[in-house]
Amino acid sequence: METRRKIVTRILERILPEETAYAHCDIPCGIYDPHYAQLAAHTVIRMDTLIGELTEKGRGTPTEMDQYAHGIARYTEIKEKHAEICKHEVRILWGDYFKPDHAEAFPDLHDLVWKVMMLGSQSKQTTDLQVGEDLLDTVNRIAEIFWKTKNVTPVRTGSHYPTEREMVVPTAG
Amino acid sequence: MEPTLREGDQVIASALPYLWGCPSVGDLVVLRHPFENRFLVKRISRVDGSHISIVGDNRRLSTDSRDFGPVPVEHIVGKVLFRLV
Repeated sequence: METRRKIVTRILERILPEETAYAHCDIPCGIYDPHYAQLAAHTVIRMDTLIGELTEKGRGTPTEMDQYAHGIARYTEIKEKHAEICKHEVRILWGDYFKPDHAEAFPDLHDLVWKVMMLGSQSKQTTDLQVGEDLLDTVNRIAEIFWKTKNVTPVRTGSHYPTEREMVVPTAG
Repeated sequence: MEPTLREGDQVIASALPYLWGCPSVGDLVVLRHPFENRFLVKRISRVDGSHISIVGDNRRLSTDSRDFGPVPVEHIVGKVLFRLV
């Protein structure tokens, strides 16, 4: 049977041109995780907090003012970067992982993604801690949807980061 | 295209069926990628005049018309007639 199959295949290869046709996505890696977006949102909150603390004790001698300016510059740069990382990571999930049947099962998905884009930009424009909190909460809700689409139960748990905020993680299994 | 096709499967595709018939929903076709120089094998999910929408059977891991939109019908290279076993 195997020999016959090989002979037929060989004959067909002679008379028909052979080409490769692809059925999958660009790679496809299939590896997606909301964790990076969550980390980035936590970092935004942490930077907001550090900037707030700087402001409180930053008025004083020229040396203290130099340290204040230096601190503001560093924290702001990291905050800008991580707000963008957060947006980028959510865009990957939205564009490459989530499919129409996910959006159908979780109708608020598109709104949540759009909200992350808005809050991510606002996070750059302000040092308002509430904006960072809203960003993290929205990303956590997307993370919950992500794990549910994989039939994994998500849980909200303490992050054990200095932000002392929650993290959504998949249950072990 | 799993579970219909698996990586490495060989199929016979021909344009002949479309000489006397039109592409229709459910047809498995080999087509030219709309933006890249390679062939795809997908299933027709919608026929809209001179364009077709295509989708992979393994929807979670497929890049298709849900990403790049409808494809001109001229991109079809052939209909998959059978898989070599």
